[in-house]
Amino acid sequence: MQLLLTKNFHLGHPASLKEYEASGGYSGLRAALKMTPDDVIKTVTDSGLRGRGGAGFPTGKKWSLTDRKSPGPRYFLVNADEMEPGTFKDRFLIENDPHQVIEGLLISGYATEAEKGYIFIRYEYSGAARALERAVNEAKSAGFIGKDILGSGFSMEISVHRSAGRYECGEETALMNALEGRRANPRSKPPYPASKGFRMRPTTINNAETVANIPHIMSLGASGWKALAAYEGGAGTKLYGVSGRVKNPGLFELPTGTPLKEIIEIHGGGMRDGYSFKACLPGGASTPIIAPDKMDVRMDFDTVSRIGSRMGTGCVTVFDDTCCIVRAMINNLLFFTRESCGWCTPCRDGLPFVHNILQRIEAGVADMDELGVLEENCETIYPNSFCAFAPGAVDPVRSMLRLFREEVEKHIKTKRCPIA
Amino acid sequence: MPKLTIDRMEVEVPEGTNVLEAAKKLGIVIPHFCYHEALGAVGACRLCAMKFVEGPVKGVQVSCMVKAQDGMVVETADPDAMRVRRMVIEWLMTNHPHDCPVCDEGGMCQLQDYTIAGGHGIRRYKGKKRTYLSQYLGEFIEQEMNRCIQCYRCHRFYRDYAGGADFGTKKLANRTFFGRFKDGWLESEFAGNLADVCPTGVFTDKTYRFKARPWELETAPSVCPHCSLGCGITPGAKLRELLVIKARENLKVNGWFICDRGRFGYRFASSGNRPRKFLVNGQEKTRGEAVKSASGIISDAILKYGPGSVALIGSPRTSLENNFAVRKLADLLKTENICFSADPFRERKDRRAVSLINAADSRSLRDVEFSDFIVAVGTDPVNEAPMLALMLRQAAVKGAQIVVIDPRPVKLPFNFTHIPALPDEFAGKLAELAGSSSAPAPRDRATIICGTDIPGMDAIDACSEAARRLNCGLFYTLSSANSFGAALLASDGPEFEDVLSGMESGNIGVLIALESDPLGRYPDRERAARALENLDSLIVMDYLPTETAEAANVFFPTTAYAEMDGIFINNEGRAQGFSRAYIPGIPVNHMGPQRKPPELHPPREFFSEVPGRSFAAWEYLRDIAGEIGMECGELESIETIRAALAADDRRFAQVAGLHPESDGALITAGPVDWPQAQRQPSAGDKPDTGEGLLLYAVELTFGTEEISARSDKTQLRAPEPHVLINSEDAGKLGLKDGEPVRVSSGNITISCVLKTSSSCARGAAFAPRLKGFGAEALNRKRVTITGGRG
Repeated sequence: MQLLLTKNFHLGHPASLKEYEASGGYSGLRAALKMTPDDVIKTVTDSGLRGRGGAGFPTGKKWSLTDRKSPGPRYFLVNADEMEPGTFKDRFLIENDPHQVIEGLLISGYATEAEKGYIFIRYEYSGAARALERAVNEAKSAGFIGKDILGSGFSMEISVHRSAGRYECGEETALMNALEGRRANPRSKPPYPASKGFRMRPTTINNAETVANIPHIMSLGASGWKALAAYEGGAGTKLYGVSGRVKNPGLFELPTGTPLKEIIEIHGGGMRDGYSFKACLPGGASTPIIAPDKMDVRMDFDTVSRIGSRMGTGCVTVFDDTCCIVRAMINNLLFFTRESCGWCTPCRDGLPFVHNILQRIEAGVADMDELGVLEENCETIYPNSFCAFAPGAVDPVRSMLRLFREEVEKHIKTKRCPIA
Repeated sequence: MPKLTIDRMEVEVPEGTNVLEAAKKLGIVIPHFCYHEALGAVGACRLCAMKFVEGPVKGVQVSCMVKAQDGMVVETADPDAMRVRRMVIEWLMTNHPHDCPVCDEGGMCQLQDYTIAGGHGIRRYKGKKRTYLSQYLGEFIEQEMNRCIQCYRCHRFYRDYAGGADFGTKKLANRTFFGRFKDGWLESEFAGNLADVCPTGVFTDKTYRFKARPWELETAPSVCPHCSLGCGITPGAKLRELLVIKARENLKVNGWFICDRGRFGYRFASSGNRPRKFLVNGQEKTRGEAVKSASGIISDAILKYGPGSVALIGSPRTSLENNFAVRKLADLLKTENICFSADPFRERKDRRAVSLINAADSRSLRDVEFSDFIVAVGTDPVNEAPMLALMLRQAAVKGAQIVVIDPRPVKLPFNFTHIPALPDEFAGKLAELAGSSSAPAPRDRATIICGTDIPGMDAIDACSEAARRLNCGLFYTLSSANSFGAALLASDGPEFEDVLSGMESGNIGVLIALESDPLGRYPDRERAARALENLDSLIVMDYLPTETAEAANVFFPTTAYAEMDGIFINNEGRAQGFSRAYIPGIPVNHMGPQRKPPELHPPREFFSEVPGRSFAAWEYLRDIAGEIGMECGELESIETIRAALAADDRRFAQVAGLHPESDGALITAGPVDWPQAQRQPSAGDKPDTGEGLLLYAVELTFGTEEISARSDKTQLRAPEPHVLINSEDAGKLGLKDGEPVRVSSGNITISCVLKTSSSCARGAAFAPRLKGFGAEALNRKRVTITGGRG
């Protein structure tokens, strides 16, 4: 298979401008600048690229919604605030080949007629941030960033912004608040960022991996890129990760729609000796659990949705047979309880409630009624919170109660954890 | 206008109304915490869930975040919605302490109400409660963070609505904290509103703490007496003690909030040194004896020297009815020596401003919020009329351009253009602004605001003229709560300056001062004191322990605003009624020795009358008239006074049926020709010429206003006596900020510390009218400032 996003990963260091250009870098930008912004948007729409941050919103459609009629300034934001537990794709991408994101951002900015781009990067990703800053400086001296880029008349500035270090900063409107220097609370929509986003100006925001795909779509053409997928209906390649007790944990660029079983067993090398597969979170801590019987699912947005989970970031967290599912969820909820921005009640005060009941179940002090309270909490939090944070936090717990009810009840009945 | 169905009832609401408000219109109040009419909908608490059955939105939704649209069918009591509301309350209660028995909010707590309304009764959360350390936020507001339910109202009021910067949201998740960076007084002049906006007991009124339960309070709709804006308030008293002031919603004036001067300046009413006894020559007497004595003095004087030997002073801080009674008594006595203020210089400007306001130009305080271009001339809103600053901020947030022409280092909680001009340059600067290309086209959403303290007559005239010419709104701030009413009753009559000359010449032998303090308010105290000594008798009626009251031969204790029915006419000309909240008398808690609470509880001493009972001043005037033998049916009751006011003067036609909770009645002076109001500045008012800095006595939010300056808690925020000058002027004089200085003109010298600012006009000095400081004596005088202690 042709490697696109990871083709410079073998270098072992962040690809320099020279190395990036040698591998075909910035040809996508050159191609895009010869097209009209509308044509660039059309190409991206035709390519079928969907947002790689986890929600899977069609990228071309998002761009076409950007208000390009009212006078500027307009902004394009790259979300590299990758803080989903178990996910490390954007970090690998930026640490190994930062220019891809920059080139993608330039093309995206050109298409949405933005004059300023920000790459919002997670606080803890200091190595990646340094690589990006170096790459931005290189690109600036080479004339890829700044006024009248490559003589096209298009101008764009790019800044790398390090996040204050909170999960909620990755929510797109909270990210805008954070970038403006406010508390990272999500904003209510409408108004949508496409018309009133960062600094209340038209703003487009995409995940770093999404943006990194753009140069390749420009180089290969919409249909050429789309055809790289593993099945009819998919589009392009995707970064999949595997972590947990597998033989070969890591990040793999694979055709979109590669079956989950293949990702874990072939690329991830299968379970380590002495351990067997119990379940997995397909794309981060906020995606519902997938049990062994659904392992044939193709890893793409719609296909995974159909079996009651979500592909999310595509970075799979594998649980083995020594792992108590309740304890796994406690770990999850501890994260979400701490990271809640504190804006809405279900998330701020509901998640600690869920966390508390899970702890009681694990400790063997809960009774059966509390299982009902747990369920009621999850079912009420899920549809009634302000943003997608709390639904994501309780979704795996809901799936646990569907798929592993027996194990949960065993905790309560035997008053101890059956696995520990 | 979208039409929707809520609980099978149809309702039509204005475009943009949210469904929560639409339901409220039908009388269905759905529990909500974060939503507040003034602060808007943010969807944080998730409590106001309703089930949307038909229409563009479906399912359980948070109703404050959904705009009403045609065809919506909404069920507020759907079980799904009720379940969400119950769960939200249960989540909030996981951390909320069960300290309701000792919580000041108990009884008016929304969390209590909604816990009942929401149906959450049995605690299912088995974890520990989250706890916080609370902060010291000064003597106005008490913080108890453990009670917090994170509705963000405090943050949204303090930072977004009031523009404060020293308070906000800290930390995150369920440790989110609302407070300051470190302990200390809240800096905003509107911080007291936190007690009103907070739905639980996190922020409570510290001055009212542990004093009463809300259901024990005697309350009545009232009007704030602490400046001329006339904000709506609700005073609350228990056992004859005024304990708390809350903001009363008045959408034509203050909206939902009040300033801290209005909220915490009430403590004069129950203060220990409030005069409560009828006194004749220092001896305690009964009401009847005092009336007899006063009427004897008056009839003797008239018999001996004629009616012209008696003079009366009304007051800009007392009710229209009291002032009318003064007018009535003067008419009965046939004396022409009557005036309505002891400070002729401010009164003259009040009268001039009142004569210039007409119905077409006049703007309400709320209208200021919706103006898009505002020029404020000679006014320092935060210090002179604090709520004006809050309304100006709302206008600024909505995009209004605001220019302030004032020599002081005006500070406002938003961005504005400051032109530091001296008062004699005001008219010129205004003309410059009106003539420049950036001036607004004639439009009615522009407003000119003009103060009446430091501007001269020419500036007051220039503002009215400019407003008329540019066809924009006009807004004067006046000196006191009822300056407008006093000016109308004074019309073209004499002023205190005339009465004073009568006293000096010996023509006037008896002075009746009603809630008026010539010794404290007349700028030249020495002159006033000499004139008062010249009198045969001084009759004073007041509820404040003024210097004049101390000098009285006959003294009558009167009632403060919360203790009587009355009307104030605010700066706009809006006559607003207020009602008696409680019967005035010595508070039960002051009945023990040294005004301490009585030792026995309940007190085992019984009285047939309220101890220390005082009455409205107009009742005393009526009794005096009756005692002299002049029957006066018009002063029989508050109703007859209002009927007489309406019958005597068509401008007051609407006051007869005025309801305290109505929008009030707009009154204008009408086209008037008041030569008195045109009187040119006399020696005391005309700015000095010559060498030295020109000193202006100025108002401050705390410490200078007559009534609140006698309230202990607001006095805590009054600054030390100081004089403020431009830093370059200070440099020239070789003086530094914070240095002790002597400020003198002629034979008057005052000592204080120097403050400097780079944003005030050069050539001027500003000294606050602090009680006992003596800045008034130097008002508009050229002063020399020298270093060193006095």
